[in-house]
Amino acid sequence: MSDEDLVARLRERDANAFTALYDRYSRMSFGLAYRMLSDPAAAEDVVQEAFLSVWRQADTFRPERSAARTWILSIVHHRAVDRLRRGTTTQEVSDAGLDYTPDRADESVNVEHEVRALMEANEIHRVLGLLPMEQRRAIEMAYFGGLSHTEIAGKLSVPVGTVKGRLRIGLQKMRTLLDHAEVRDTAHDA
Amino acid sequence: MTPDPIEEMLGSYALDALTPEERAIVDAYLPSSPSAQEELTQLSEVAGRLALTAIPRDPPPALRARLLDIVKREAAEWQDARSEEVAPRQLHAHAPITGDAGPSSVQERQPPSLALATGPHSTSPSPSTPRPGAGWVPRVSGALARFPTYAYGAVGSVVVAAVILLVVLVNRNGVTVTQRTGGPVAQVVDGVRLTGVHFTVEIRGDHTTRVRFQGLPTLPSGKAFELWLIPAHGKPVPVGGFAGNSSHGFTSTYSVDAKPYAVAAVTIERAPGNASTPSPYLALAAKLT
Repeated sequence: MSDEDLVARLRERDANAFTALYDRYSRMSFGLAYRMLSDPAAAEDVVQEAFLSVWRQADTFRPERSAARTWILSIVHHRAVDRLRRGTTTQEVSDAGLDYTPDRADESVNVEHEVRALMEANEIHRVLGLLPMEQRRAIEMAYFGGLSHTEIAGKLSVPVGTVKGRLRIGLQKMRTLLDHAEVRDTAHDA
Repeated sequence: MTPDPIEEMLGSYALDALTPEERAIVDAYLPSSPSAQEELTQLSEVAGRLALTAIPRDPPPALRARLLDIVKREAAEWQDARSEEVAPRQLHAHAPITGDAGPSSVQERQPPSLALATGPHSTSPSPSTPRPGAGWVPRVSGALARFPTYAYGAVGSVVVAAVILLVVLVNRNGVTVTQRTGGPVAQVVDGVRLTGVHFTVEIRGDHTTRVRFQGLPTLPSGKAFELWLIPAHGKPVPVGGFAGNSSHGFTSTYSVDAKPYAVAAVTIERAPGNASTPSPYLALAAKLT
């Protein structure tokens, strides 16, 4: 069953649909929260809050606007940013140095979705690497560091308008590059 | 050509890099610009894919069990509620009932003497959000010389300048859910406007407590709300801290039984809101008994 179908079933309070979504995306969600917060307890709180939002606010999902996976991960991201801005955890922009490796719950790992996500992640890494350094840096500080564009401007000692431009143009370039990659892959598959 | 100042913020919006005020400006602008909506949708999709670059990690197994427990319980309640819509069940209301459509309201007004209490905020570094079902035990605060001056300690002197509803539901599984509704004790507390805020406390037969907030404002930087349970005679117990900005609603379930307590209260503390002693800034209150 597709992610979107599962979210639709949440609106009818289908606990099995929730379980399926959790098993597909809890590892990605926890990984994202952990990368942003560098604190396993805080990451656990964030993932819990995020999945309860998914459960309770499934009717706010708009399939015409985003994929269900994007929606779920964006909720996790919002919650982690909130946590960072409340100042209860330190900011960390890199995976380097994170050594928390909790016990695996193999029954919860959805291999298909993780492999697909891993392939996409490689593509995102590649595309990020094609951006000018200043755009990539600004995007990573905003997304993984949870910093506002004003805070980024302060850290980089550049005008806020410059940061706004870097974030917007950087994302636009990423989109163009990702679209080209998808066209290329489609042609290759054909 | 000069870039549009609002559309220049779309990348920041997609990356959660705006302040709430800036976000509100963009939100107000979007309905007038289909092209901006389209661009934001596209940029948000790209921004969302950045999450995939984080290394997937196993969350603690207890989190799954805890979430599924909550979800299954709420699913059962939802089914119960749907059944009741078809064939209304009996509601046991402990409060006086007026009108035909539902539980009545009881209004109690007694402004608290907030000026009596002053003192330092706690700077405790402990986590602000208890994790339901994880064996969290409420901390009992130490010296509480100030809080009783608010006169929350006695049931009869509780001050709640808000509509209070009391409804007891008995669901199909025999779990009693007692709801209490409270609100702000003043229009403005510590510079924070609380007009329109309300919250509901569910005292659940399974010894958990669920609190729902609506309309909590965004607090200034460095401040947080903190929830307390206050017995009729004794010390307020801190339950957890949380941010505001919940115009869309905010619900949290705690593994603490609120039944023995007289009042649920929310104060404004220093962020992250995990003081062991309440600040003078009592914001919301609901009578529980």
